Amino acid sequence: MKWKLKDILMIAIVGVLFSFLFLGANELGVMLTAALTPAGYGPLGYQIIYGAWFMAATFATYIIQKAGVGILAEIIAAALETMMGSMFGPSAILSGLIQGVGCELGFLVTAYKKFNTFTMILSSVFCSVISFIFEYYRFGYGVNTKQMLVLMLLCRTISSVLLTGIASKLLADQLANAGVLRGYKLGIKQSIKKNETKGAA
Amino acid sequence: MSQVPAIRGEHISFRYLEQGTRILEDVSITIPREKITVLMGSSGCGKSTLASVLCGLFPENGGVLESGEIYLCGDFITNLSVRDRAKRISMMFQNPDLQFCMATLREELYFCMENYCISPNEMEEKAIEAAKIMGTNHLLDQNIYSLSGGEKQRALLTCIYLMDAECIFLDEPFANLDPDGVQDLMGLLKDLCCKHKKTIIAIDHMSDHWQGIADRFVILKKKGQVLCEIEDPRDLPSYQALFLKEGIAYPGIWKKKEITLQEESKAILSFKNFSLPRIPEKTKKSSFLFFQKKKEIKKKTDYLLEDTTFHIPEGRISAILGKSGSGKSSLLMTLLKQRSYQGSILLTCKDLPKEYQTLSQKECFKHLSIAFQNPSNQFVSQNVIEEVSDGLRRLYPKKDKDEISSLSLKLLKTCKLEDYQNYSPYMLSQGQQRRLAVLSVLSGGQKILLLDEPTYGQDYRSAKALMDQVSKEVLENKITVLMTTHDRGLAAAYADHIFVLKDKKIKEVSKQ
Amino acid sequence: MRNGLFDSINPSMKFFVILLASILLIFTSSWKMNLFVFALSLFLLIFFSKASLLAFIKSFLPVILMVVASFYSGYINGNQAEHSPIDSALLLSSRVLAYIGLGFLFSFTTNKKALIMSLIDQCHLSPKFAYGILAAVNLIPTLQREWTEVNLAYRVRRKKVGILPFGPLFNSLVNGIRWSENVAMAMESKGFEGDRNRTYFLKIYVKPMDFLFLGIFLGIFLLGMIIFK
Ligand SMILES: Nc1ncnc2c1ncn2[C@@H]1O[C@H](COP(=O)(O)OP(=O)(O)OP(=O)(O)O)[C@@H](O)[C@H]1O
Ligand SMILES: Nc1ncnc2c1ncn2[C@@H]1O[C@H](COP(=O)(O)OP(=O)(O)OP(=O)(O)O)[C@@H](O)[C@H]1O
Ligand SMILES: [Mg+2]
Ligand SMILES: [Mg+2]
Repeated sequence: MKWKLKDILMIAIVGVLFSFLFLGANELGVMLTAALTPAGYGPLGYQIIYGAWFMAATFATYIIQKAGVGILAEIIAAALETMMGSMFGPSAILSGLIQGVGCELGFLVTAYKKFNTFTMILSSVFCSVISFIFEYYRFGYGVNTKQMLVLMLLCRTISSVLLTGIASKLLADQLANAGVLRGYKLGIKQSIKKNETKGAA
Repeated sequence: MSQVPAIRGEHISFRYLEQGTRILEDVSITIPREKITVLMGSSGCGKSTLASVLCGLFPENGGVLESGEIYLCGDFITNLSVRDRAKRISMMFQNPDLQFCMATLREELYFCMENYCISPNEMEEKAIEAAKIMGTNHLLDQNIYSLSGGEKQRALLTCIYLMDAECIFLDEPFANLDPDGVQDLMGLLKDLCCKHKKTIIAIDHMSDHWQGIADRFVILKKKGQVLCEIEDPRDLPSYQALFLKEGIAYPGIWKKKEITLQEESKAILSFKNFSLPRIPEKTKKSSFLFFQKKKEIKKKTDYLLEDTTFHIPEGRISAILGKSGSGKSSLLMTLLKQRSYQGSILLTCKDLPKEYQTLSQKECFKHLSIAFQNPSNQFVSQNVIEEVSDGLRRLYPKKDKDEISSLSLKLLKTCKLEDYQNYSPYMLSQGQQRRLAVLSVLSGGQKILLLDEPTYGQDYRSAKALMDQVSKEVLENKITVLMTTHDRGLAAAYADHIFVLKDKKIKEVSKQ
Repeated sequence: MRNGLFDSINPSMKFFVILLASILLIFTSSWKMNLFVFALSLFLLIFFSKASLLAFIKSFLPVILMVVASFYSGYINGNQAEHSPIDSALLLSSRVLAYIGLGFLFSFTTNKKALIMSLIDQCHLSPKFAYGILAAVNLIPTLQREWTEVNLAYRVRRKKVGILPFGPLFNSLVNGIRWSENVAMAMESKGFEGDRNRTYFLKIYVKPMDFLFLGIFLGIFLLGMIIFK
């Protein structure tokens, strides 16, 4: 597959911008963690904003509508993070890869034919579940009780569906409406649709 | 060889969207070698688009070329590789922010040389030489993002000088530069053309500074078609009617404002012993950038403004002129409480002088508003009319929906934006966006408006419509306007007071 | 005495060795090993790198909250059938520490431009990707300035922004997509083709020292795995 320089740049810049959103979310996460810690549920605080991590992947896939975008987006995001000095360093690449695979799976179900709310939500659920399984081993969640594990996964999935599935789709649709995406599949589809409705009227 | 034109485009038709209107329609244009050609035309007529098409960047990076052939120095453009193309023509785009990919000018210059496979041993010397000629050697190691608009344009010209392509295409290269700086660079361009046998094509809204430099002028009309070619610049005066009809400025078009003000006005903003450090101290840290903290060379606090005292009068238009990089945008940012300063600023509203430092940001924003240098940072909604009505609603809480929308429409009409009322602001052209940004600020109801280069990149007609509207609001609602600009003619035509930022001081000058 | 040995190691080799260590860590479940890894990273950071310790301590502060939270949660919610509460708590929190130690060890000792260049030289990463990512990294400060400006515009025009600022995000995305197009065109018009046919001002080599040092590092790491099983 041939990638264009402008696509690479787009994915990277979008990744950076979503990380700004994540910074806002991060404060929320810190506050929640602090609030929940006395009850022993501290780690849930971060799960609630976890969806913001995957936004770049589904967002870019929904716009470019090609196989492999999700993985590329997550790897680029992880690479940027590593270079900016993320606390997890090189292992961020690993989780990026895993999350990217999760994102791809959602669209693979329809053989990359459908890019709609359903596949976006499916993809977000895959992201959440797969990344959770990975972290189960990576951070040794095994020592937690079942109840805690279910709660964590639930929080992560809800946040993922809301942010990764729904919010990033809404954002992309708005961008297409604003005429910014004319160079991408989503924008082209949108403009064709508009022309058709105009023709019908 | 010299008979072969530098660029020849024939019957070019181009559009951005799969199914959209044509931006360029059947355009044919020929640019002769070793001459300086200036392209002019009203805003949005397709100059920038034509430039990118002629350089081969479109349709490769978007858009659809329906028909047309382009020859670069005699060769069909699609037969050339990206690198070969870059050797023949190098382009400077309209927006100086979006053209760097490295952290400092030095690295950017190395990047250009690496692309041409120049040996690493020669790089440093070549970079320094180019920077010396373009007057950018003090900027070589400064972070590009901290450069001012004009400094970025100079930096870009340094890259272009270094790349040494046969043709140079400049899209509004001096929009952010001060007139004196422009004169310097003009001399260099003339040299490049005469001594180094380069072909130079420039897009510009102002013909003033090209007098005596340009060899030919080309006027474009709608859809990028050539309206007329002026082969002898001495004929320029005889084309004034045509310029006016197309809404573009000819030298000396701005008439000086007649002084109609009798009574003295009070100062609304008084700066006393005001000093502004060059490097902003108050930068917000974020954990994302934690490690990136710049190790800035701590000079012994260098100042943009030092111990200066001046007053901005109420209910008038004041313009600030000054060399690029002298700190005009920084001054406006200070008023938005984005930078720390020394000395005092007094804000006098309703006869109550208040020390600026004691006001909260929220209180300040009740009194003042800004139109940024980059208009697309300005919008808070997703259609054009909403941008204006949002402010009006707050201004007139009693009026109902219909009244607000008819008021908004009236405002849009003044700047010829009424046809776009349901568009997204982002679908407008650069010039239109800038006008909308200023209108949205006007509708906000604040008493002090800061306008950062409101008319740069506008053609004469739009600039005039915009400034007329601003002047009207100032008279009717006693608004105070503080604007920065590089266009001396425009400042003389609209400003009641002209300030010049020079040698770290701000002084009022009388209008000659 | 601190020396900068670890700073000068070939970045992509360092990258893969630390990545390998991170993967190996998945297969262990001993809090002693986790703490050992953290201590090892700290040791290298302090004695074999010239990274600013002040910056390190600053970035370490938020980590403490995470560690405390997972410690306490493990203590209360640990699966008591298999581990004692204190064991669960130690396991969970020490694991976070181990990963963060390795992460900091890499990020504080690696120059980002050198990393990219070394990925081109040693891992045959295509310059198109490499320079694309580098350009994005270099754009971050500008993007950030735009981001504050957009947020400022919302405040000046007295619009509310929630804790998840979707409004400003939308503006910035619009700009960002424009930028990617423009910057890509600008890079092309500067003769950048994205192939390997170019020279490099900064060239990164592999030195025998890199093998030696990273070999020792891995050796100690594996030894730790055996001892603290
Ligand atoms: N990327 C784009 N996508 C869609 N339409 C565009 C794009 N860029 C410009 N246009 C439209 O094409 C037309 C010509 O734009 P262009 O930028 O070439 O004008 P211009 O002559 O350079 O104007 P200005 O003097 O304001 O820079 C405008 O009407 C604009 O709305
Ligand atoms: N972090 C920094 N380090 C060094 N110099 C800086 C830094 N930030 C800003 N400057 C300098 O401060 C000056 C302020 O520029 P400012 O944007 O206010 O200029 P300006 O008068 O608006 O120019 P223009 O007309 O070109 O827009 C510039 O010369 C810039 O290089
Ligand atoms: Mg233009
Ligand atoms: Mg400025």
